[in-house]
Amino acid sequence: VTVVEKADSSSVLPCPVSISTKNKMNFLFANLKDRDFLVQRISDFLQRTPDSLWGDTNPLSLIGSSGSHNVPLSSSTGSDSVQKGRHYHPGLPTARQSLLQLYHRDGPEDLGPKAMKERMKEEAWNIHFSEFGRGVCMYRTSRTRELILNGIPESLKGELWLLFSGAQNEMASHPGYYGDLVEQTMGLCSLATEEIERDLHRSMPEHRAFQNEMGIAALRRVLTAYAHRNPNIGYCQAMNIVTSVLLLYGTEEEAFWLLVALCERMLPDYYNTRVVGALVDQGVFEDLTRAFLPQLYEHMQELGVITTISLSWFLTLFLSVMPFDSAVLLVDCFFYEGIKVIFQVALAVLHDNMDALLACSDEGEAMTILGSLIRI
Amino acid sequence: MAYAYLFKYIIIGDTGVGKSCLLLQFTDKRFQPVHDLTIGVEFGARMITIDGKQIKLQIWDTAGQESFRSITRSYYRGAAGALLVYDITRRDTFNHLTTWLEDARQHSNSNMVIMLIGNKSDLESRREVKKEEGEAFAREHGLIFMETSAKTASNVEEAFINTAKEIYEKIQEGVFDINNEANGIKIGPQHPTTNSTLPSSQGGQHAGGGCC
Repeated sequence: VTVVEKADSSSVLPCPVSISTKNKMNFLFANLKDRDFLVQRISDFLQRTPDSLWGDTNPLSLIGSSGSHNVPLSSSTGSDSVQKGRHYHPGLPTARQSLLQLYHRDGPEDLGPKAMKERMKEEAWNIHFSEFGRGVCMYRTSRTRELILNGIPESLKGELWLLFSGAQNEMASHPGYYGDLVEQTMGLCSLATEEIERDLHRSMPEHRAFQNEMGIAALRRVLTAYAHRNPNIGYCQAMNIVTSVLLLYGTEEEAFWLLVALCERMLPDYYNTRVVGALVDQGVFEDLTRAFLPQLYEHMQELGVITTISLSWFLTLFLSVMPFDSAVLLVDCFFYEGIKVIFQVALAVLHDNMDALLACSDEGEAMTILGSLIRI
Repeated sequence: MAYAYLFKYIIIGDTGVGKSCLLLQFTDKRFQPVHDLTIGVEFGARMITIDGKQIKLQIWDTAGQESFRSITRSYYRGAAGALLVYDITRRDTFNHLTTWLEDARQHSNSNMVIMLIGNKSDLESRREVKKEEGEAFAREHGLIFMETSAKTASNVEEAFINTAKEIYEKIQEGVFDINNEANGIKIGPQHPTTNSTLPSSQGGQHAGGGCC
């Protein structure tokens, strides 16, 4: 948003406010009761938001610059040395690009069927963008949902996750916040940092991006910064798995704000000490099972399995139990529709394995079935 | 597969001591240096033979982080054996044993067999906890003790099997009520229940049993 102002009232549109956005779109909101208050608030907010910032955080500009990955060397030596002293600075590869972008950069251009499919998805999204807008003003249509169900292309995941989760707004209104947090926390020792350290090599270890120091260091910074921001959560296992996936598709700062959105809004209390939020959702899941799969519910009650196995489904959004590509598609849907999707998939998994589960005589057998089927 | 008995185990201990690696070494006979961490609880099973009888071990591998402690607690009930694991290269994991043991004793049935395991014995150069200290702790608290290496497989079989032997002996002594599944022991499907009421030592003794 660049300009907000009162527009002339008419009988058709009483008390309207006109809002212009950076990509030169104008929106007219009418029938506003507290028009003066609203205009005042938005103007105040705009004044507090530095102009240059929008250029930096706008996903559009990020995409435009993704081809040129090197830091400009023209900066003066003075600011250069200031940057060098910091743990997190724009010169870090992961400050400007997602791990997957960095990882693809080294490889030859892929022309295989998978890459072609990606291109087609990108094209479909571009058409959607031109028709329904891009960024915060994008309309969400039934077509949006269809496109998401097909899987967001790799190159757009970061941008759209930020948009759908609202993380983009928070990131834009807190410029420099992440970098400062990193400075405050690096080198500090606490229970959280010890636990983070121990888990860095147990987060997506099969992925190449986390088999080198660059990926590991980025993961360390994001998790440590978050533990410092929110001592109530600190660090809880499972956050490492989710965060490593966020880093694959977003810069460090983006991954950080996505993690904030997850921990504080989308998965409330999931990663608190004692994972209370996740346990509450286990209860909800059991109720849903009773409502939709009553026969199985009875049987599982005897076996006592549901709470056991499904905890990791929820805490890692299936990332720790499903093949990577399927799980990431699920994350796409999750950012758009919220936890509902995870419940739906969890129920579908039980439903698909219903006969085998009903035939189980003990919880061990049931665990084996659910554990192995989901990994295929 | 048919089995005479099924024993339930639980593996507990601080995060990163090698619980999942011990389980994998025991069930799959392999070591995976890099692996995902355990969220909540995982599961493994294997058949062993004791005293000529097939015994199925059903093993619940738990997450070590404090956040998951309340979930771990719900698995003590219904476990016949527990492997309490620490890392010989990390003193703090040994110091936490008392807390783990209190937790285990409080939430399990009183007959649960507990095996104390000092893991990572292959990392002799980084050792922080002497073997004697492990032995002393075990003696003091009435546990069985072993040092293992999930990496080299040293003592891994023995740790799981010795625990099972101990449980088996307790069954023979009549300490466990095997008809109560809450004790973590199940009699196999093909195993006639009469067997359990006829321990071999009592066969052919005088009229004490009062049969008809």
